[in-house]
Amino acid sequence: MQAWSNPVSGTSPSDYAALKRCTEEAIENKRDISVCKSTVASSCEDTLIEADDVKRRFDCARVEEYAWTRLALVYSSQVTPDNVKQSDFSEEEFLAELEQRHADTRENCFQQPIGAEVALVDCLIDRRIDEVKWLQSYLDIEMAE
Amino acid sequence: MICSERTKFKLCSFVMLFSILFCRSLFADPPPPSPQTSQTCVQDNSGINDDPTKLRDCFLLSTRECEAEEPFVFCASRELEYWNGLMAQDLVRLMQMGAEYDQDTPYEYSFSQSVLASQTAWETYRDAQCHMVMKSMFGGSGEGPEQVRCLLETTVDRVIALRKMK
Repeated sequence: MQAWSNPVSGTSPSDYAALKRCTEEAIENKRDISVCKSTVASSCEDTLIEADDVKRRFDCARVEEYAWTRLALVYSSQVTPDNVKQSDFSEEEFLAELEQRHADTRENCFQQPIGAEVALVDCLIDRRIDEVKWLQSYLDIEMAE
Repeated sequence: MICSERTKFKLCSFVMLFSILFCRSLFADPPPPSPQTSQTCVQDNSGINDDPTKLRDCFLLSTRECEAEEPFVFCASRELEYWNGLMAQDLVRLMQMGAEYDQDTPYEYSFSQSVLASQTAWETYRDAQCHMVMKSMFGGSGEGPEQVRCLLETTVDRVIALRKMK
């Protein structure tokens, strides 16, 4: 329970900017955006050297998770009803899938045992990355296989 | 007679084994509950004519139920994940609502851009507010639980504010 004792929330504009830059570069170079995982966490860990290892990893993973959440939100703001229609989905189907994805995230990630909080946040990050990739498919941005 | 006793023994053993297995399956590590109670409450209060402020009644419902089995912070974090998802879906709905108007508007002046700007400002407020709430525990063990509770409460209020826009 150590890691839960002082959770960090939110992400700074510079964290988000670094992640956005990394994903844009990955897309440009036709690479999977998953390569950007840990971009935020690794620079955060360098700034929290005084904290113990578990707490540092947990806090920084949460900062990273918030940055991916923001990225997913920005991508979803760019998906227009026209994008959805072009993909042969109705707007309601699109929203239903978004809702289902969030429900799956809760079901999968919160199966982690107590004490494995870093793994839980890591699972949330992976789900956010999947969500960004899914949103990208609507925006017709080419991605690496 | 021996045969009959054996049959009784076998039957009794079978019944006992079945009972043990059945009871074990009832009590063997059930999957962690999803925030079903809060979810049902939200669904019941999400009709077109429903007052969004009623969603406040759904706050902490699942957490209260779950914390009999698991630590508060874990339960509240799971409920927070549910409300975060709800907020993301409401934001997408809201931005799509303005998509038609936005077609002829430069991106920086678009409705979706104003929603994003508002969301960014709200996140800054949320983090500062919940950091203050956490600090008000002055290093005590309540820091973590109070911060998660604050994140949950401000997120519920944000969902209500977004729903008032529709």
